Amino acid sequence: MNNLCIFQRSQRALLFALLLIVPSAYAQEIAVIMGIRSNAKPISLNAREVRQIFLRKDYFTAQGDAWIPVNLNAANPVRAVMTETILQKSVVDLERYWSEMYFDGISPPYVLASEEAVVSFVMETPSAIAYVLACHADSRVHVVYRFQVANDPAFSCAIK
Amino acid sequence: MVILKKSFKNIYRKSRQGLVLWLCLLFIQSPSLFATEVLEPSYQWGRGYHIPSQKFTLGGYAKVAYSYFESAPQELALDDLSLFIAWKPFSRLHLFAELELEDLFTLDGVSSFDESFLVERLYADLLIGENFKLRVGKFLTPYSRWNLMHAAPLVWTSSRPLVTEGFVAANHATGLELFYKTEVFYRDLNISFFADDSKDLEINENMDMFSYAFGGRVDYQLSSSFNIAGSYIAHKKEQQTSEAWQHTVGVDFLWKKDEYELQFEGFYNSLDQEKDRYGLYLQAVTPIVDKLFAVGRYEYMVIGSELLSESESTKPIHLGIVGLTWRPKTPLAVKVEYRFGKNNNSHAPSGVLTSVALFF
Repeated sequence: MNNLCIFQRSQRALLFALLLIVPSAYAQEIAVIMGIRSNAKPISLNAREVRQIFLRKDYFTAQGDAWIPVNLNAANPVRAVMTETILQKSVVDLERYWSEMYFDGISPPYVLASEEAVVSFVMETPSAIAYVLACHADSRVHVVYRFQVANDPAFSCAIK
Repeated sequence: MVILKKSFKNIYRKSRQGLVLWLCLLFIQSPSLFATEVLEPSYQWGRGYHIPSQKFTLGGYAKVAYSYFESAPQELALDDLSLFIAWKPFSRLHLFAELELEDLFTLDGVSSFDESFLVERLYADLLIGENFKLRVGKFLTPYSRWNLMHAAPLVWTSSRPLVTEGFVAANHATGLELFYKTEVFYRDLNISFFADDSKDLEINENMDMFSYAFGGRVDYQLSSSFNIAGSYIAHKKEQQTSEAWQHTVGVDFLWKKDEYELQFEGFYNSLDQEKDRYGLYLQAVTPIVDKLFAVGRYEYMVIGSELLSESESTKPIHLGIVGLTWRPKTPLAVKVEYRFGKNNNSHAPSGVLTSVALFF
């Protein structure tokens, strides 16, 4: 009787633990990446620094090279999350922001079509910085910042 | 100084040939940088034609306006046709030019190129570090939020607030501007100082320009949706008869959240007690339906007697504007507004103003 009671309690505990674990196990991470440089110390950034770089408010890396931020295309769900979470702007606000910058002669970040293209570009370009799903940040790149986002079927590690 | 002035006038005369030469040099001298050479040149509406390998952008904006005034002739004009040329030949050097054709086509006919051609801005930015930037050339005077962002596709009304039209300070300065940016309590703080010598350096001379000026602006982001700024300018203008320096102080704020906006600017300009000029405006924007916005603005302005003819009144001007702005796409703005007021006929006559403006 006692053993049955312990078994039932442990079943409930296991179920509770699974309920806690499952959502976080399926939550996605987005990684902000740079190419690996043999002569440079790996860096890490915070959310505000990433924001300033992608809004072209911060110009230079610690080594004094110009940042080259790279965006995914406007329809990409990873970009939508980046815009909302890190840049803290709606799509309309961000478009208006870039119109104001355009009047000052400043262009928005370059746009590449896929996460694979982004990884290749970042790998080959010193001071380039971009973002991809963390599962696509392979050994060719260095993760300088990562953040979690709610699980969404649109985020697929299968499509690169 | 006379020699310097002659030199600049020569530069202006040769500006068209110079521009062509500049563009040729661009493609010969600018090195391709890293993997940006794999990026194809592309055109995007509202962002211009961009050549990533050369860090070069060509774009601009246009505005067509029609106005029907109650006590003045109606106006139809290609108000602005501005061309932007931006080039970063080196990571710490940013060159920018805005060349404008103003009122090229009007109901009175076609203006000559020389009459309508203006060098609106022409400067080099030297990025000294992460926090400092030095600007050399002709730039927008940093005294008013509206003046710094006055492009027709960006603003909400066809008409410009009277107080920002050059009565209290010239809209352009030619000389040096030093920018400093930092963070205070995790919010952006931008400070700029400028020194102007338009008398010797300005390439499009006009009555409203500074002779000499210096001043600065401090702009602080109080929250993600609220910016507040203050500015000060000491200046002498070409048109003034007295030798005294004028002093202009200004404050402004912009609150912007969920497509609602509230913007205020107020200025006080002092030459002497009889000729003081001061004014303000408060503008509100609210979304009505998708992409359509209602705009309202109240303006108050006292223009010193120095700027008025004998028949004009020195009474304060009150202006009201109610209008609609439709922004079907970010680079495009279609506006219609009704302007009314008191003592306003000389400077801002009552009537209906409409315009279509777009970045290209």
